[in-house]
Amino acid sequence: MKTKMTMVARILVSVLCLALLLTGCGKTVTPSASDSATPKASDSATPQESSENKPLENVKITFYCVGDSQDMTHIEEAVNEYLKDTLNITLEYECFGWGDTYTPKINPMLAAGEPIDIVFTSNWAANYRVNAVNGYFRELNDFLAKYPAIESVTGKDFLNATQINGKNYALPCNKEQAHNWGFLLKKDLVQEFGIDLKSIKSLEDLEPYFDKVLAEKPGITPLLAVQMDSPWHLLDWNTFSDDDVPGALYNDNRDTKVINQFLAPESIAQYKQMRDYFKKKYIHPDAATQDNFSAEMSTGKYFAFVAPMKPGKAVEMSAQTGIEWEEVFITPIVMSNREADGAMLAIPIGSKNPERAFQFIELLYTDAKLKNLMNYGVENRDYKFIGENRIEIIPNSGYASSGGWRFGDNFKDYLMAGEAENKAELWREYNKAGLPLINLGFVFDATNVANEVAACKDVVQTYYKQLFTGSVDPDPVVKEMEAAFKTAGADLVIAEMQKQFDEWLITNKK
Amino acid sequence: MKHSFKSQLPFFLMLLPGVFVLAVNNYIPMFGVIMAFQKYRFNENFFKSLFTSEFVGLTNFGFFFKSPNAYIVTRNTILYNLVFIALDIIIPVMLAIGLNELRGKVMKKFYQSTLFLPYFLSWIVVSYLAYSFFSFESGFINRGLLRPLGLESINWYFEPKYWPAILIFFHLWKYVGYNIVVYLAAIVGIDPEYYEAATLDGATKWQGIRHITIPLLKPLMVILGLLAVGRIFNADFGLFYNVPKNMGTLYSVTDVIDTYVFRALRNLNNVGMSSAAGLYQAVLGCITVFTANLIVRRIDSDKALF
Repeated sequence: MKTKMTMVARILVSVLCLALLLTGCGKTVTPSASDSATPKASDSATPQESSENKPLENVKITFYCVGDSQDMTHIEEAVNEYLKDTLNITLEYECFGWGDTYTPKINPMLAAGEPIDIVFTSNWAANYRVNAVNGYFRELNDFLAKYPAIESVTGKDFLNATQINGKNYALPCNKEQAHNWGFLLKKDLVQEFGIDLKSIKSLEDLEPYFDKVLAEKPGITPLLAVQMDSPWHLLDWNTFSDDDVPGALYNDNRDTKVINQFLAPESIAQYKQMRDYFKKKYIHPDAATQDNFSAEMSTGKYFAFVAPMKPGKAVEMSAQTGIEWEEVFITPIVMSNREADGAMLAIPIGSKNPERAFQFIELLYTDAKLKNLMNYGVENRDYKFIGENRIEIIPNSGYASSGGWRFGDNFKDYLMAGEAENKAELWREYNKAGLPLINLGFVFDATNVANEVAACKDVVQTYYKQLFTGSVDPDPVVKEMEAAFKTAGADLVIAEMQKQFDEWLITNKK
Repeated sequence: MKHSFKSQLPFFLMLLPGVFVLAVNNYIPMFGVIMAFQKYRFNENFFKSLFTSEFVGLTNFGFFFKSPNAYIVTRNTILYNLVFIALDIIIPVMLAIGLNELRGKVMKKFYQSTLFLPYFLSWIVVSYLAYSFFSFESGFINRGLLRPLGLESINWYFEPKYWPAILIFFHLWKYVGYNIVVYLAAIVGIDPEYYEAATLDGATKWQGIRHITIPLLKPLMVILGLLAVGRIFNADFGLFYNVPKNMGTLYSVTDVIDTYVFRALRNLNNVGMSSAAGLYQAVLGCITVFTANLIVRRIDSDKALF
């Protein structure tokens, strides 16, 4: 009896353990690429291009982009229908949110060599320079020579600004070529308070209106600060690497000394100012835990937001968020590596039809109809014409544009209601006004300090949210952060940047 | 060992699917450990990249120890897992015995299902559930409890001291139901004759539990405990990343190896460093499980895992 019982118990136990083990395997979440990499191991097929004479056979083109995640089915269908007789593709178009949400999804796919055909990449999403150097993107020089249309749209210089060692790994969106930062202010409140936008020159100038919002508009928070999209940008540090890596210059070319921007006196003064704002309730008490500025803006519960500027920014954001905004420029206009690198499309090495993918990208620069279809959606469903080249967005159509600056030729976009007739002209003027920064074209190679950069990124990730939103008392936290930077080797990172930059200055003396 | 292979063939056949799954999921990916020693560079396909990437020795392991938080992160991982291992045995066993004693069949099923329910929720969902309780402005605890009672609101996401308790609570809330099922199945398997004999001898219910149920559950507890010890360096990523909303202010008590590695490397896309971190966890876990097993074998060789 007893032996039979133990037998049964043993079998039971082993079955349960096996079940436990298997479920244990199933739900492990590790960012290591080895898991996702294995099943893809068979993608060894070398890309074979169909010759141009034969009618093109239908191929699938996968396109992953930044943007608000939404249903793209009707856009895919419209694109497939539109290109049926020419490029003949089946488009799979998907948006995965913005920077910090998009990057961790794309990076493992690239490392695994998944057969994606087109990805969005930049200095703030899917790390263009790191991924290009690691061999995840296809070299495009041969295609650029074969299909010269893109170069004729963007101009050679702008295209070359994205090169790494003389090679093009991605195609920059043709758009404004300078940047500055400023405010988006909620239009109805600006009108109600009778704010003279020209009188706003700094964050402090908004303070009386913040008080007014608090006093008269319960439920509206004066200032929106979400992650890096906060007044931090008003300092506009001229960074050498990603935004969360220490190492920057002042944005007025005053010297060539690389400093740690997170510990600079200007930054510490701003942390204190933000603390003051937080206490005065200018900033939402839950600010540090929010993670999507676009979603927060769409609620209409905020008065001011710090955003990257260009002529027409407010109208663009109105289309994206469904709330009307006014724009105010604050920081001086500069030309940095940020612009050319700011929005690009690359062809991952895993793509099975790179040539067709390239041709599709080319169409985004040359075919206005396709470009607008990808951006605004389907005519009379997502937007309708109200003028020759002017459209009106249909609200709640189920698709909202996440911005035409993400791909192709931004100048081909239809004008939205409210946009200036001479938008292209304004952009050209804006570009001309930009001060070229002294490190324009310099690329930092992090190979020698990869460990330190990883550790420093962690330090920034640990502290920035609460400092940028004023959620904590800055004095002890800055001290803590300073010590953490020391252990992480921030000094080594900055010394390495200084060394490479000094060498570059000598060889590229202008 | 007189059994011929032929007579055991059905059993081998039954083993096959399990072995296959194990090989595909656990053994084949092991080649990937090479990447921990490489400067991984993608080259046509994954396997070719493995052979063509440059070997760099132990440099990939350096970044973890560069971190000012390396100690805190390791400490958090081990301490939380120790607490989880202990509570994952004690609480489900208590509840399983309690549920088993319930006579009403309907209520028993109801309790069991209710406890099991959270197991099916994703941590992302749980994190928003937690946020609706702990958010400063509109969270239930501040808005519904503290403010009406005239107490000061607590800014939960900035106060590390509350989080060990919160994390342990959510872990138990999610996994207790699952563990109960395991123990309940073992209890049901115990021969009722033991209890009958004990009752005839005048044993109370409590004595029956203490001297029959618990001793018979012991092997299962030891095995489950040992398996958990093997994963002591692997934290539950979903819990530690999502529930505290990845808040920097709380890292001193919520940051574990998995979340640290994920944060440090998600933006770098450095496959070599990620693999190095994974290998480090696996090797340490392997050492711990062997040590724990050795100790168990010293005490009672029947209950050891191997």
